[in-house]
Amino acid sequence: MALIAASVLEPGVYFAMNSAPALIGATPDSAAAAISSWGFAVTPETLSGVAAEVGEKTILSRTGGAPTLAVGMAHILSSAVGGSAAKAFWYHFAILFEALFILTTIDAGTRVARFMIQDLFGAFFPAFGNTRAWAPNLAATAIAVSGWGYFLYQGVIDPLGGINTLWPLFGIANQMLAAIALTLCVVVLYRMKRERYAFVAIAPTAWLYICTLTAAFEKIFHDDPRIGFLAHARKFAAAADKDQLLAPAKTLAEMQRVIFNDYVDATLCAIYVTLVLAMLGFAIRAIRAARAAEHVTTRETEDELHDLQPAGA
Amino acid sequence: MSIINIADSRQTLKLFPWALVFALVLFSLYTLAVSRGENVNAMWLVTAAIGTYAIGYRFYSRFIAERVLGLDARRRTPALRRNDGLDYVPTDKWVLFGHHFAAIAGAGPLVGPVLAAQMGYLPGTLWLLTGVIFAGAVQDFLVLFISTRRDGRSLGDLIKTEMGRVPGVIAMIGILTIMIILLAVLALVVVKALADSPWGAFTVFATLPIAVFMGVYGRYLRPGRIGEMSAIGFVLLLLSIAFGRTVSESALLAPLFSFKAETLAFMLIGYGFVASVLPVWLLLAPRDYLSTFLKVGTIMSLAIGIFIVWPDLQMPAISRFIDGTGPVFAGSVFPFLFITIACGAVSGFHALVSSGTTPKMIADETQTRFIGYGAMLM
Repeated sequence: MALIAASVLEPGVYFAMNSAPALIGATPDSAAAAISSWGFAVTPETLSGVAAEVGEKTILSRTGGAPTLAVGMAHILSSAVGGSAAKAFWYHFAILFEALFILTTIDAGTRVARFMIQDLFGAFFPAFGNTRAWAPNLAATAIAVSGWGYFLYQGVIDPLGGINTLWPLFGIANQMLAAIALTLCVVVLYRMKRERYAFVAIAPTAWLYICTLTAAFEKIFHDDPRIGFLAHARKFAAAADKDQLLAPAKTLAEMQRVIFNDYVDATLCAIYVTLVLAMLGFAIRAIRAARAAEHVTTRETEDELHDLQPAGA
Repeated sequence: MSIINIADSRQTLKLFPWALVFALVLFSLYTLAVSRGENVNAMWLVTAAIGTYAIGYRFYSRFIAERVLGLDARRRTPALRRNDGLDYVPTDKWVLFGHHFAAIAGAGPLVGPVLAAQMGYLPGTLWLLTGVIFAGAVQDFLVLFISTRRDGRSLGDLIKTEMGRVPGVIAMIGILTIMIILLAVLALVVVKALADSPWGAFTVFATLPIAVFMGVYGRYLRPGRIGEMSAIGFVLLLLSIAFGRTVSESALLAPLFSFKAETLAFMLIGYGFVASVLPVWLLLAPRDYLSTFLKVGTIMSLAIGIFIVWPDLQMPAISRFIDGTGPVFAGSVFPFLFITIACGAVSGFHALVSSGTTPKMIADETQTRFIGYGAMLM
């Protein structure tokens, strides 16, 4: 659905909204020139026209995907109801809809993260695990908020548009979580002694492992500074040594911050890779143990009502 | 002998419509893939998606349910065994379907495909279709099944009991760091959408007092009237969108709601802190109602809109940025397309929901197919 909404836009408008200012400049004229040179013809008038239609000052470099989607949705919905006069209303309706979506996730997510932190630390300091006491509540919330807040701020001041850097990291993290969940499914299938059908879970698991590990390695070690975090850091470090400023940094302090952020991102990637590889190792061990065992080894809750046949018998 | 033949021909007859669906899907995909130059209608995309998902649900999820897992309707679910009226509540399958759908339909499926569109619509479409059928929906379904048979416990907990203590702790740390990145990125999307946009910022701010008002209304003024509360909230919401135009055009108010991205970031951080500490009924619960209605309503109206308008796809099927030099995100199709469209095709976040509230509310084990596999297809 979102893909449709993005694809009904003119390609020129799409690229104007999603490219960093470093690439297309800050005015409709420079943006139209840059994008037309990529082979997607667009005029400055079109770009400012779309902005006026949706009631915004500019649509250039509004990265992050949400505004693009909103313009696409406004395009579809206003063709159905209200005509172009209603376009601005539909655009802001779509923005509000997305923001609400995300805000719900943010506060629910912060709450969940808080519980997880209290749970983890509670294993060592039981008092910290009390979710009803105020002090641990505030402390764990502070840890959770400063965790994501740090990356948020880094993304906001990132002159490359933020999303460009953080989205791959997010994608890798999310897909690795999926890989971990699917690994659990594979192990459970083996422990249920249903290895004949384990391919149902093994196939997607393997695919996710391949994708995420390749992506993570490329993000860390790739030679192209646009992809690899370390290459990007090296490029900036080399320039900083010669007292040069690389766009988009404006001061030497900003140069240092860019380098530091690159190392943080690379470290995070490396942590993910280690976690996932460790899970893979444990999974193989568990599967071998399950194969060696003669009986079903998984631990399902007993159902006291009736004697169960072995699953699927 | 003849009885078997009759059964066989009945079987064939039942499968015949599915062969038609399959042919339709193939034809749509063919049109999507081959058309060049002219604009392709979005209806082909919709047809291909609906057809593929229907086939996947009918055949593959049934195979998993019956052959792989051996779902057993006689087996009592945690909701029945431990019904405590709080977390463990047997719930009607349609209501639960809605709950599960609203929980997994976050912002990811909205943003990922938008970014991936820089390579043209074809690569993204193909991954969305295959990924959901063979990976995403399978994961949601299996995790839901596993958790339902184990008291509805959480993912980290399940890993601990099935694989050992150390992997359990590793998984928990992993889940935590992943949550943090996830929240940061989502927050960033909001910031980017609202920065320097008084109209947008005003309407989003307006939702806060509206939600608090709804919370107070539902708890003190007229307790229990959820429908009434939601209707009032919805009307106020529409009014705030309309009034946003006035704000953005007024010389006095517009500067008040034009924020720089940095300021918005700090406001959001503060908001996250407060919202996580406040009691649930005041802000969270009423806004959840509001946004669930809004989610389902908007997605439906967008779908209806597409059917009415029949828009053309303006993007090329495959753009020149397929080589990895695109301005939106860097990197080639493999592996970066597959991690960019993260939540739409397969999402680890869903595993948290499937091992969170849903398994505690499911009333019949065989419904895990409908809810776990089916909701993902939406």
